[in-house]
Amino acid sequence: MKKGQTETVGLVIIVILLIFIAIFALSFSIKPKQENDDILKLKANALRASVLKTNLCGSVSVKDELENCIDGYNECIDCGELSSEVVNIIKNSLENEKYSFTVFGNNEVFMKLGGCVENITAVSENLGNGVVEVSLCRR
Amino acid sequence: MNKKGMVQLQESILVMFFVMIIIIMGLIVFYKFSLNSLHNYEMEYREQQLLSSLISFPSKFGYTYLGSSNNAIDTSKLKLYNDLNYGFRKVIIKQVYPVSSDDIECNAQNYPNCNTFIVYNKQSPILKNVLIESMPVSLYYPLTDQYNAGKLTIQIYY
Repeated sequence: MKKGQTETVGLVIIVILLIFIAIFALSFSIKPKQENDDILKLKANALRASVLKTNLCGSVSVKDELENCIDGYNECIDCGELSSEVVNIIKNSLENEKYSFTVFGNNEVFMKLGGCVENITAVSENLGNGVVEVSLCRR
Repeated sequence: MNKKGMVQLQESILVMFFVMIIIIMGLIVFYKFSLNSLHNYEMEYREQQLLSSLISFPSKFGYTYLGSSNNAIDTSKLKLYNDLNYGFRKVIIKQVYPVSSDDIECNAQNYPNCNTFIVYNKQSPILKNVLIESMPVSLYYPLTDQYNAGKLTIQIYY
């Protein structure tokens, strides 16, 4: 190998090394922060339990009133206003997180509030005649 | 020294210079990487601390009936704990539904006609950073036998 060729190979090695260092540095500087899924799951479960347990009037809870409305009657508030009351509880309980609150009754969607593209689903809770699923969205 | 020797010497110095630059850059990148991973570990540890606090607080003040948990915080227990020591942090439980316009801090005199419980508050003038996380909770009022919606907020100072 001629002297000029040796120097060129050396130069190429130096450039490759520089590129490797740059890629290594960039990969750590632009790595996005992962949202903690454990906290989201915990919050989603807590939200479901809190919303369903909350009393609307007297000893009638949101869970009781949802069951009533699926069966076609109400005790505390009009079934049309129940969803806005649930939204009120959820929005006050969360810190600007997006959510999805779905109630299934008689094999169809009875109430659907909010929505997520990618979500963390809480354990669903059975009503007497339906199911409630609560999810929190990844930001 | 002849002219060719001078050029070769300059060339060697230049190569040495570039090699030194590469080594220094590598050391800086390694140092930054180590510092960054250490910082990430620290934040992960604090988030785990926060998560365990969010899990343990509701069960510590939980409402139980005949030994079984009711997944709610018994608000009458919140006034009893004055001797807690959880380090530098603030724990607030606020009733969010039914909504009330003013924040009324609870004490022995105005309970249950209030909406904010400051369960624990220990701050340090040195620690300026704060990690805040909140979680929905169900609040049980034994005097009225009512469940209201609430929000548990924990602030960890570091």
